[in-house]
Amino acid sequence: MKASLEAENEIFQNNALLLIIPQDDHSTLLKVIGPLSKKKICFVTLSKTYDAVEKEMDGAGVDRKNLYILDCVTSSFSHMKPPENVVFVPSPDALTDLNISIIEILKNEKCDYMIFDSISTLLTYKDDPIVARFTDFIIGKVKELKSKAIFTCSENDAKRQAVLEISLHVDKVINASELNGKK
Amino acid sequence: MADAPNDGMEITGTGISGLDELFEHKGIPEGNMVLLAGACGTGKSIFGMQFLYHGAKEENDPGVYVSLEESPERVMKNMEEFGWDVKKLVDEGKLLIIKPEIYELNALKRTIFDAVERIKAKRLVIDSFTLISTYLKDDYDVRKTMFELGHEIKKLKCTTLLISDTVEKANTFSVSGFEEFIADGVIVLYLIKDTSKNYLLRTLLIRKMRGTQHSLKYVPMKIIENKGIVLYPDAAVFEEM
Repeated sequence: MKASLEAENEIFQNNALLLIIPQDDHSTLLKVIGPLSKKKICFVTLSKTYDAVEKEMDGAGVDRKNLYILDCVTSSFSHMKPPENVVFVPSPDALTDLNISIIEILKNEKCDYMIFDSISTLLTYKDDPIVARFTDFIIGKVKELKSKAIFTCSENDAKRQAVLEISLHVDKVINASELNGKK
Repeated sequence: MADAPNDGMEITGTGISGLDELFEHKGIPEGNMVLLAGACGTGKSIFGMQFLYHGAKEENDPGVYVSLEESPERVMKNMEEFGWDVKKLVDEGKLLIIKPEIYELNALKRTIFDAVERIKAKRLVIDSFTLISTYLKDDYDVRKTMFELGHEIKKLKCTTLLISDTVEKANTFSVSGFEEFIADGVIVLYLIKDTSKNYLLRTLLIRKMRGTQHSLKYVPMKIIENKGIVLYPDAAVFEEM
């Protein structure tokens, strides 16, 4: 799986990207992550457990030593302690806990990239204005901490008010079609 | 270590991770009497213990913890749960935990003042100031006594935390609604429940602090094993307060 060269350049050059992907297309995100496999990544998952993300990242060639996962799912059904390089957030809409954890990981681990998966899931829990405000805050923090951010969003939500506002705050919006080498 | 301001005012570092940076001079002006308010479970007692432990261990500031509810043994045990070597500080005379009788105000004052004098304390925590008022007969008596007691505590020149128990979502920070006016500072601890989810979030707000500029934002806070209270001043609160 490989992104087009042009899209790959966009990923490396921009500090904050919004990646619009077709619904149920799990391969698109992996195409993006492929070129980042040697980078230190903080992966924020709002809908998958950390072990599911680990398997996907293995498939994308990401070294687990360089992978930090913020799992907003597992602690809702399990009292287990998080394994190394994993942080549990109590709920996908625990936005304060979530921003604390993102900032702590970016600060302490000096991650090159923060991948936020996804704005669409967040929109099922929170209203558009709060999602836009939260994302804007995270973009600011990511830039302040000299990291880069990729936010994913389903194309079904591309016209939502929050996504339109986020589009103004990121440096670039990329559609999945660009990753496939189409214009 | 706290940064000293130019006007000669001394600053007391709180030892609460992330709190001092919310003040212009990285701490509370020395000698200030601060009301530490919050509902049950917000972390007031831990805050007070951490303040004294840090002072005794890191700043060579002897401190007195006046526990009006729990026994000194229980207070020590609570502190030791955070991995703090309290006994050593007690043995060295840097920390004194007392539980005076509360029903006779003059005796209570004498016990507190003697304790401060005995170890030359620079920090004092009264847990809780609220409890004293329950032994007073009416609102007038509460206000008069709290005013006088506050005035006398200030004379001790200790940096003091008066712990105040409030009810959830209260607009006042003490039982009489008066203590916040006599105090030099008011720090409020909150434990809020997200409206849609089943989890609680801790935050802290500095309402007032004489002698220094300070942040006026709600700051997320956690109580962490082996650390105590940790604030996250870089983070933001997204839940409705």
